[in-house]
Amino acid sequence: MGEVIVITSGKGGVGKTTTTANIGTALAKIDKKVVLVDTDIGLRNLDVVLGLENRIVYDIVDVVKGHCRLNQALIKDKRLEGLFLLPAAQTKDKNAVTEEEIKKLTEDLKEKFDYVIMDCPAGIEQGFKNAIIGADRAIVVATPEVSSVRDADRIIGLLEANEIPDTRLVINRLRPQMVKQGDMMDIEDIIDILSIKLIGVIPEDEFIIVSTNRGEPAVNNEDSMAGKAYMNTAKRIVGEEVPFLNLEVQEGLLDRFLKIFSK
Amino acid sequence: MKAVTLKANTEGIFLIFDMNEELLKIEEDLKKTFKEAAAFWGTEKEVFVILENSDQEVEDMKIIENLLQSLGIKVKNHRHDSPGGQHGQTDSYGSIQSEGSTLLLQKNIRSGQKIEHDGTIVVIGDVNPGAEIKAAGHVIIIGNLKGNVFAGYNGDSETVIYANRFEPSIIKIADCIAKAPEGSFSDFPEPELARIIKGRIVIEKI
Ligand SMILES: Nc1ncnc2c1ncn2[C@@H]1O[C@H](COP(=O)(O)OP(=O)(O)OP(=O)(O)O)[C@@H](O)[C@H]1O
Ligand SMILES: [Mg+2]
Repeated sequence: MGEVIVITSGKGGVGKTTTTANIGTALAKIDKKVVLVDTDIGLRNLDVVLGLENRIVYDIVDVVKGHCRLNQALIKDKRLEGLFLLPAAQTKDKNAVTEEEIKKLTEDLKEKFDYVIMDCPAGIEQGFKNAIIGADRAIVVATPEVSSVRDADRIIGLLEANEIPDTRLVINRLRPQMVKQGDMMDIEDIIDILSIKLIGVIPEDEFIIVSTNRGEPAVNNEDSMAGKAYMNTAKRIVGEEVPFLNLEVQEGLLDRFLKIFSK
Repeated sequence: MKAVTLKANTEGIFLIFDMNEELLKIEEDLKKTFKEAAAFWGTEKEVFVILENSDQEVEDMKIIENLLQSLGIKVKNHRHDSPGGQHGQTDSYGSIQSEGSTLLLQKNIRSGQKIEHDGTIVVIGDVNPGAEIKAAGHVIIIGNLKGNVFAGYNGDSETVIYANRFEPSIIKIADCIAKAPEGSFSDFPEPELARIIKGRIVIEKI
């Protein structure tokens, strides 16, 4: 029996889809069987980030409405054996699926996969409720900005109210230099407010933008710092103890400097 | 047995009511007390009221207040053993009392969450930015206060707000409002208490 993990944030554009794609890919790289579910109905883009947009025939709405079998809608990743995507529908009707339907879907997926990762839409409306309904645990993504942290706090409260245990935090787009200058909230400030456990710190990394455009998650790129950080996050998800990040981030910068100077 | 006992000290005059007695007897005794103790009164037209044996303190207090009002007397404070709090002395912290029931919450109150209660609210956890706590009585936070808190929303200016660490966005007590000064918090915060002193919210370390 697998585990359903919802990736959520409240605020839009902080990196839920990026995190879903990268954590999913990383888990598949360490030989887990993984399905990524895009619940952002009407604004599907997890397929693009994974480079699978040309292979979509059926989507999540087709599955829950019985227009196709689950297996027909699952899209296998280009590179990794154990990685699958269930794409969102492009329909305008955001209420095209119900909580009961998603709950049933996650139960079916759990039978087949080690990890079912739900990419949640922004906001706290029906799409959010759908995405969390079957979740065994949640990962909240926040960037080091007051507004993002505020929304993350709101989401954590809602997750608590829905009795989803063990919510963890991914801090995305951290810029160590800005933190050092005092221009950005640091990890401690964020944890102090949210009082939940950290599971990943992902640096700001232009590889993410390049890789998103190429449809190839950053974990596939050895040189990407964000990719490394996502790999560590995936290892923590499966229960490995991977030392934390402040260091990771700084080491990474150092690595890059050394590379630049050795050219 | 008398239903009303009068005591006086340097703080003022205290009337102690035994709420086990019939209301008629209380009224009678009160008038008697007035006459007998005329010398005490002088020009004093305000008293402190202490209710004994009351199981409905809010209601009983209203009845007594009305009764005293009909005799031209105002109630200065509710049920304080010592009204020292009015003078801002630290030793008065020992005598904070509350009316109504107490709501105990053992969790963090997060952004977007609103808690309202017609008695005292005790939070064991943090009150985060964007969270709101509203109590008819006191608000006691065994944790960090960073959100909005309103104590005494029915107008009880004797209510207080306590927190282990105080950096609220806005606090209100009864009709008073205070905005936290920005960026003035120390790295080693100490427990603080906010209350009304001379018509203003004052936040002090304890
Ligand atoms: N660590 C990072 N470094 C640089 N850019 C990033 C990083 N993480 C995300 N981004 C960029 O931020 C943008 C938003 O990311 P993404 O689509 O993952 O957010 P989202 O939370 O899923 O958004 P939405 O709420 O719209 O679904 C993308 O353009 C992505 O490339
Ligand atoms: Mg997204």
